[in-house]
Amino acid sequence: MVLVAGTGMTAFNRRKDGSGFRDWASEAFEEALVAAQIGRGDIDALVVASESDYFSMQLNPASVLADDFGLAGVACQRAEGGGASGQVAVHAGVALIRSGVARRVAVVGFEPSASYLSGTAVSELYGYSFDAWTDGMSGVSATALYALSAKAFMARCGATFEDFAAIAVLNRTYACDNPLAHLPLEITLDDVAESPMISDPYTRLDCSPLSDGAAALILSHPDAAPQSRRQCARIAGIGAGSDRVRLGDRADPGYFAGKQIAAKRAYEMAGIARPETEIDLAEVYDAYSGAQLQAIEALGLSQDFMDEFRSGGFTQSGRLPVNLSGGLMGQGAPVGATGIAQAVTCVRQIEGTYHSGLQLRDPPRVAIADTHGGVATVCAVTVFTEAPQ
Amino acid sequence: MKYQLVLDYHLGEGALGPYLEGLSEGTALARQCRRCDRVTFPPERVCTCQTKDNLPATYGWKTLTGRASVIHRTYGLGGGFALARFDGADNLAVCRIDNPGREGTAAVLRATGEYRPAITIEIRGETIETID
Ligand SMILES: [Zn+2]
Repeated sequence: MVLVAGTGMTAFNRRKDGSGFRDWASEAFEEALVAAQIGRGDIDALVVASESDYFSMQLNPASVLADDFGLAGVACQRAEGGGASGQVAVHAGVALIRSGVARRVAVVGFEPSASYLSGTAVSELYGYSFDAWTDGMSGVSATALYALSAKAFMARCGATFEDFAAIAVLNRTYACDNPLAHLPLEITLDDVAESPMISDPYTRLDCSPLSDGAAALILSHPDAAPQSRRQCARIAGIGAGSDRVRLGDRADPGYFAGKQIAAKRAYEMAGIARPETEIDLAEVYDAYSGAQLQAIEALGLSQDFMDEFRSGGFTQSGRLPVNLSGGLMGQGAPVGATGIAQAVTCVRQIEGTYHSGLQLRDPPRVAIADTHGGVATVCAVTVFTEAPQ
Repeated sequence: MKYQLVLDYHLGEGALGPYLEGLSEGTALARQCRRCDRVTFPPERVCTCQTKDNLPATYGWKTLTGRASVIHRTYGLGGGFALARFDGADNLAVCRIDNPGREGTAAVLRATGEYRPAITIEIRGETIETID
């Protein structure tokens, strides 16, 4: 077990104040450090998550942030797995502690996905997140690849445009109660249908935004946390897996097989035998509305996920609330920070300190965070639990 | 502050060279496993038979007809894209659709030239009589 001694995150949005990623990363780190009730000198290692130097114009960002954070001499490294970068970094931090290499690790993710470059430029760069040498050369966008995967999923599962739109609406509704969220919107199913078509079945409101922001965790070995933080939430399981990089090489382009592998490994480490009944909260990777349903399927969160989705089982008042933060679609998606922000949500929900309108009355005992890079190519799942009673 | 980065790449094509050269000329050059005969377009570097038992396999190139069947397609701001199966291939290919909006599932490969060679198809309707 590894404790999450402290959490921090900035607002996710498009910055218009002239601030930069080094400011956001420092803000998130300082908040997590204060929450963990430890000093800078207690940090043994820093793991930084960031997807692309093209966004930040900074190679080797861990060295720069270690210096900015005042962590002279600390062991530092960067972790990267496309959209999964944040949780890949969390897993790297957990591995450092479990292997005995470090006792306390700061994990910090950031991305200037919104204000540094034009949306057109960022979208073109995202096109190289897949197999840049084959699919990427066609100029295919992330949205088009996700759309093709969604078409295969819809054909197999009977999911409809309206199902996807309902997710786009709900996640933006949750974002209205999240003061750090990028897209708190009061919208209807018609608004989703009438927004510009990006790549059918996905309209603009089915897509997550490009966001700026940062998030941070302070991880600790149970024996190395301050006494005051020994009852905090912990990481009980981590699991990672991958799928064929090209949709066309997969047995079913609409099924997230790499995610299923990652989840199985995380559940095994956490001792979860029946994920469809043992998990109380999930933050899943909704880069697009349909991807949320595809994730729920692959994570094994229900015995009949389409039926349970349509009957409200994954809403705030349902059996297993999903993406109460607003997810990527509502809270936002500064890539390197995204997976770490999911962890922040899970930990604060377990500890009962989440945003008041979204905090579950009975805090979850077990929560999972799920991210991926590519179209669910590099997958990372983390299981969080309350402290043993 | 303002900043601009302009990059001009000369990418090493390696094992993908024959495939990419074929695309620029409009030829569907697939990779064939000599051990199990699996044919892949776009090409897989390691065949699925080898990933199962780790025994050695050798590979060659096979020219396909260039005809394809569209399985799924999407249209939008960036144009049209499809998942299609080329005749004789065991995998699917992500393709740019040269004539988005055209009905039908029968398609043929189109030459893309030397800049960013990629699988580009023209949809011909429900069936194809001849490839020109
Ligand atoms: Zn073979």
